[in-house]
Amino acid sequence: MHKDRIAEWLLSQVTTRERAVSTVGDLTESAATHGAGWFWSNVARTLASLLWRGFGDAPGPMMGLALRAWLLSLALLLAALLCLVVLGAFFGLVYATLASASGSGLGAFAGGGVLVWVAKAVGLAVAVLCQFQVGRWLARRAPGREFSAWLALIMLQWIPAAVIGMGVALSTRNSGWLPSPLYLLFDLPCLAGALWVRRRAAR
Amino acid sequence: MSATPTLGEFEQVVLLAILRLDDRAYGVTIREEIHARTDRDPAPGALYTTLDRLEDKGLITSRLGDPTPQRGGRAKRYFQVSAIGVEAVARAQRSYRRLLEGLKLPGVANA
Repeated sequence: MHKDRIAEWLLSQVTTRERAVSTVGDLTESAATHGAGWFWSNVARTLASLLWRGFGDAPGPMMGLALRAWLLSLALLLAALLCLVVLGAFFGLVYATLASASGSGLGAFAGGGVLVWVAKAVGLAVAVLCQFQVGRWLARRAPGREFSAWLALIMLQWIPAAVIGMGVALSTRNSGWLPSPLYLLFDLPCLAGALWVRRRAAR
Repeated sequence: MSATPTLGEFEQVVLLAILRLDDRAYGVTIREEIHARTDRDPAPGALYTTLDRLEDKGLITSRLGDPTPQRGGRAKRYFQVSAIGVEAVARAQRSYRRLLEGLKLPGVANA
């Protein structure tokens, strides 16, 4: 029972809830003779097929949308970086003024690296928030195809990076140029934003 | 030109299977009918994608049946070919017949 609900949830991310439920019903009925392996294999294949359909039916407009989302992401990150630099300069000035006024007390606080960690945490939070907003923006422009739009953005970001990285890595014989798959984690807030819009629209 | 949408080969197969099944056409029976008539075993993923596409194009309509226990309490989604769907499949078949007219395929009787 639990596995069916997971399958339903997965499929409902790429098609309507009603279609996802009836599809899982069909697969459950057929799985009675084929087994659980067949069920999951076909849930995965159906998911991939529907996901690809969202992109493959209109690849041009979808890539155009992904390009605009990517530019928006860059603009948001740049604006956020600018704000952080201005804020950092302001607080740095305040800190320097206070430090010179009170002697070495604040200097020990800064020496612990707390300020650096605070700056990193704020930077990360802002980057996550920017990506989340990009996901929301993307989803609003691709109703019913939110997951596919996100996939197009991933392809736009990572295929050129992977090709260039591979070329440089081969020519320099340095695998350090290859993009790490861990960077894909950076796109998860974008997916969360897209799914958030989809979920709200489905209510 | 006519506004009737053009159909891919698998879309025609699916539409014809639905027409054959009449009011018993849902995912499982459509796959079985295609297998029985064409000896193909279409992947469920391909079938559901095609059904969704055909419905979005207005070539088929669907309605939900009653939930059944062997499906974990989920309802069957029954499909029916719309008037546009019938026209589209008839047009595609006419095109095939015109292409075959007077053609003798080597090694095939009554082509």
